[in-house]
Amino acid sequence: MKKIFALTIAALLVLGVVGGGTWAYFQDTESSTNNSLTAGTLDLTIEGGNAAVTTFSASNVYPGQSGSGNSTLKNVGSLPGNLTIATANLINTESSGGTEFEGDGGSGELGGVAKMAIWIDVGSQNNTYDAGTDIGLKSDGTTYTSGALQYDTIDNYAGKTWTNVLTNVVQNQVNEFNVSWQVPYGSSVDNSYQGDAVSIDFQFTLVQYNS
Amino acid sequence: MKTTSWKRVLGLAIAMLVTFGMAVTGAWAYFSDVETSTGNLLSAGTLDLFSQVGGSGTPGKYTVTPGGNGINGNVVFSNMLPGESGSITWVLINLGSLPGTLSLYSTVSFSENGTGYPEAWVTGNNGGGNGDLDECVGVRLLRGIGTDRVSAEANFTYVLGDAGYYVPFAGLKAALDAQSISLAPDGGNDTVVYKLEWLIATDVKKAGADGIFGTSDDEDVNENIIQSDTAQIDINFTLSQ
Repeated sequence: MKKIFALTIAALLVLGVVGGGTWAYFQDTESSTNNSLTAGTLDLTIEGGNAAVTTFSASNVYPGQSGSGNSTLKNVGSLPGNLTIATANLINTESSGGTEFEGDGGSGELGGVAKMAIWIDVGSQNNTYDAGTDIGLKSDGTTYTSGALQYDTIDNYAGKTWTNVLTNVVQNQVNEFNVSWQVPYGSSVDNSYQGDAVSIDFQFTLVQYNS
Repeated sequence: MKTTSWKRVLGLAIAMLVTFGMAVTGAWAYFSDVETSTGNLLSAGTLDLFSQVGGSGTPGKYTVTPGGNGINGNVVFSNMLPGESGSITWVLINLGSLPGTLSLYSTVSFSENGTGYPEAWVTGNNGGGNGDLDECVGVRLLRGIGTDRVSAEANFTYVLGDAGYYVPFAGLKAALDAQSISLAPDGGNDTVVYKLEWLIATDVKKAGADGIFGTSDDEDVNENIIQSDTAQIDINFTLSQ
């Protein structure tokens, strides 16, 4: 009788386990969380901001006069980039003053007389062209790093692009964009550009650097 | 198992479409940033000299052509007599935006211009072969600089002769050619006025050794010595940067 009772109990336990699915077993869990991708940033500033600036401006210029201007370019993004520089919107404007010696009916001659040299101060950033370290941008779209600054008439800089002037410009790297201009003396009196004006825009593009 | 297969097919299709779209349109995206420098400007100044001529003299015996910007102006005196006087005024203004230096270059010429009977008998007539106005006409030259004609004339000073005396016409060229004046741009001290005053004394004389009319060493001459004689003054005014 006792034996029958014990077997009955055992059978009920087995059935209960199978029916309820509650078999206990060993288990361990690990986790991998906060997996993420964050895109880098490519952010070029000019003179500390993102608004257009004016690098140089001079009025009442005359033969024999010269000057310069510069703008600071800084990569404030987290990614390195390649810098490309281009010119745009070169405009010559004829004098509207109708001075006695002007009135030549042209479209403005100053851009064909006034010269400029443009360059990137990548060395000591002293706004002085240092051959060997700084990069000059020639009016034919090429660059140079040796010799003296190379000037050409402003008109000859129209529509030029210097691609990847600087490569791998890293975060917080600062470079100075410089323009030196001059109005040379002519060999004789030349009033043809009295009161004329010439303007030019520059565009600076930082494109991601792929190592 | 069936559901898994559909998901795989759908994923592969989307991947192919995306890849195909990039290949066709070339629209691979990349990071870039553009900054600009605009309004970079050079504008040339102007240097523009304006001149205007005026004069005074015996009514009816002189004509004034004022001239203007690039237009010649002059004063012509005719039929002058002993005892008459007159003046020529040149107003020069820098209308430009640049300062400049005004320089003068003159040609002062004298001529006997024929010899009539009364003149021919004067002892010493046509001294030097160029008539006698160079010795017998007194001149003095004033100059004033200011912001306009009125202020310039208020600043008149003598650069030849003096308020108390005239000097011989012959010295005018040297005085004119020695002029070098800084003129401010339009709106500043941009105006200079030159005034030439001349006088033929009633009792015609030569200035003598001291080169000044009205002093004791003046030399008496016959008044007929200057009949029909002429003098001409040409001046180029140049404003340079």
